Amino acid sequence: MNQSTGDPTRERSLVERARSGDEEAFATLVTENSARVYGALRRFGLDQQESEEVAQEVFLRAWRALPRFEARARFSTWIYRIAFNEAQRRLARRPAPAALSQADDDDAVAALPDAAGAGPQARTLEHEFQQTLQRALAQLPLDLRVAVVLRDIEGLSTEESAAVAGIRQAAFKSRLHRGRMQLRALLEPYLRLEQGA
Amino acid sequence: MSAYLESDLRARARARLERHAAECADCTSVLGSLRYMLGRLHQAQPPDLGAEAPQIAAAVLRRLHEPVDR
Repeated sequence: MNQSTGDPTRERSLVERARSGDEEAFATLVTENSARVYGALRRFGLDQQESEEVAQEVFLRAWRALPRFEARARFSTWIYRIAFNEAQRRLARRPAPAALSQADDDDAVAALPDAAGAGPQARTLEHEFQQTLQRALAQLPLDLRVAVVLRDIEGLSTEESAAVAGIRQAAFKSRLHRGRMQLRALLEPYLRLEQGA
Repeated sequence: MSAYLESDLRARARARLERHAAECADCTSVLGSLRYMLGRLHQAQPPDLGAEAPQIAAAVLRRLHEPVDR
């Protein structure tokens, strides 16, 4: 997944038409961005059903807020911002998970037993990596998880990612580094197996 | 290290980190695994929405004129 997908000029044209009430243009924007929004919601920590429900909410909020949308922004970046807010709202209703944010790297590695247990064939499969990545991401504190998802998986720039997270770039870089280090510790057993395969 | 991997360090800080890493097996190992992980993340496929994508668009269109429920 990469933010660079999609033609910005065409996107701007669709947004302009949607802003003037063209539902067909908006439907095109939804279709072209729904997989990206769904994917980000899953990575942020929502399950399949929640992600489908929340993706709908994201686009409905976008439709209602289109008159306030600043034309110089990318629609696809703006939609991440709405998705992030909706995911935060949904995740805030959940009971707090066992805190890993204070854990040191050794604890973090120990918290991912399945990664090291991957079979010699299965570990070469992308599917296996996806599952391992999803489990590892779920163990990161939300602010660090979002930083890694936006910058390293969704492919947004640092500037765009910081804007989506609603923080300054310097603060975002700090979060991103801590997120990467924690994720590296969690994934290390798996990645070591993969590199040695 | 993140800044180093993104070429976001000033020359002096970059040189200092490289000098240190040349003598520190731990830091070399962390840098290597971070670099590998980032490459892997950039290639990660998104969770598959599959046949649900058009359904999300259809559901959104049906709901465009719903009264706002806050």
